[in-house]
Amino acid sequence: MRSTQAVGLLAGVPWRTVVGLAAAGAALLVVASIWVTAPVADLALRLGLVALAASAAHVLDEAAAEAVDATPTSLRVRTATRSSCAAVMLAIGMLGLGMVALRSDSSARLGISVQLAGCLLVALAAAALLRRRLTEPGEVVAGTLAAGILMLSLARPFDRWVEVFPGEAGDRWAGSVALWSLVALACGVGLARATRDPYDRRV
Amino acid sequence: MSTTTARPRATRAEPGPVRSTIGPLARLEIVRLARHPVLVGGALFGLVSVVASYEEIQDDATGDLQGLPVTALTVGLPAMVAAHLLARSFDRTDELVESAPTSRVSRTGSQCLSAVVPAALAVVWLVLFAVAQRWLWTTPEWMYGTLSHADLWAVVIGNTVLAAVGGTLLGVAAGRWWHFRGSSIALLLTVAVWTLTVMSVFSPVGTPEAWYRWVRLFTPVGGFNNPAPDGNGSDTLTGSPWWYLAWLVTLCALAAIAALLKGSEGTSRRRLVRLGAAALAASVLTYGLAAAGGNSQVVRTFPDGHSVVLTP
Repeated sequence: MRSTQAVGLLAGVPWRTVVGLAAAGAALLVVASIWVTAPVADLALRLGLVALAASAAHVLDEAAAEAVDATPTSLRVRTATRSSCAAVMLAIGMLGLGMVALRSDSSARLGISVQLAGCLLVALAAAALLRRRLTEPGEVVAGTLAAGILMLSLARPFDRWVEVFPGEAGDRWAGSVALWSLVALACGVGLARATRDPYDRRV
Repeated sequence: MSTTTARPRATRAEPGPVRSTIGPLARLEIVRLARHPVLVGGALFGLVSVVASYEEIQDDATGDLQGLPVTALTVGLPAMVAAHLLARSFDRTDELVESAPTSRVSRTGSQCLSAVVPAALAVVWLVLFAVAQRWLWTTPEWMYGTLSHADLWAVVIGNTVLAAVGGTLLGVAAGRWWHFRGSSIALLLTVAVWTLTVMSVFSPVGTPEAWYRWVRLFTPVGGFNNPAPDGNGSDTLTGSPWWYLAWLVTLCALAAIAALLKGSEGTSRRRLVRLGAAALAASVLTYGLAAAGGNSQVVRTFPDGHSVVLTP
């Protein structure tokens, strides 16, 4: 794919929303790294993760979907190109988490990047699945995903079996990494199915 | 063959009385909200959450149970997101909806009335709480601290029914006023930052006494009872639960008025502005009374029944 084609595909991304939410996420991570011992740090960390995931959910929004669907670029290529924005969000998040880890002298904080990657993948997969019915699924996916992350991290209903969002050195990380690996696998399958061509029966 | 010279009658549809249009519209909105996947998913999550952590809740009645914050989290929060998305869904059909013979105030009012769905879910939680409180476990009296049973009910009603209703109304209000992309996440982050920051920053330890007393209740979900850090006692926090409940009612009223104000005209707008001013004044007054009333300092009650005032 030529770079001009990629630029064309990325032109439809709602940049104001994506950049705004990514900036909000980065700002919250900076807050977490500045007041690293304050009670507000953990909250800022979680909400930063929520904002970055919500930003990724908007990446696949395509206001001119009917026109773009008629172009000779497959949905899979378009989705893959736009998903590269999520890699930027992952990089921003990892940078922020690295700062928090450095300031708190706890490498466990860097481990939260596994959860961040999982949340970004869930956002992309859900948006890709909804994209078949809605031209702009970002709003619905972002709101639902954010509510889900907040409910899971505050109510912690499955802690007896697995910690979904561990954050400290003493937490059970192995189970969490296994869970997020499964989630990533499911999201990969979901993305593959959601972006297949309607006449392609191979996937 | 005959001809007629009579002029055709005017065919403009006169809008009917507000009450007659709100009823059917409200029924539609109630069904839309009741079937919304976010609300249904949240309610199911709440149920699963309680079943999964039942034994832990039983052992720690003061923390998770007496305030019932799980309802605010699993009904109020999803109801807010769902109501917001439903209110925003009218954005693209605005021209079509405008041609309908109903006023904007009626349409928004019917959306606000859909809050009965989360309220009903919250009432189910209340009933479960009452049943559990009466038959499933016996909370020792010292765990209530200096709160009476009536005070406890004020806290629980605030964290269930009013949180559910308030969340829905806030979602509708934000949906009517905010038309930018990403508004649902902006709303959610605002409410989360507001609630969790006040809850986590203003703790009884390390916060100046006056600050703690006057700011800690400034959240839409609050608690008046905490287990002591060593588990050997129950801390009753400052403030009056009943005035706090009244303050939450005024917040619900303010959210509803804010939603109705968008697109209102003429007499109804003037009436709404006057009502809003009155609700705002009542809100300031009830908050002041909530913070000033009740315990002025944190009181720790021990299992043997004696209580001591904690000084920061």
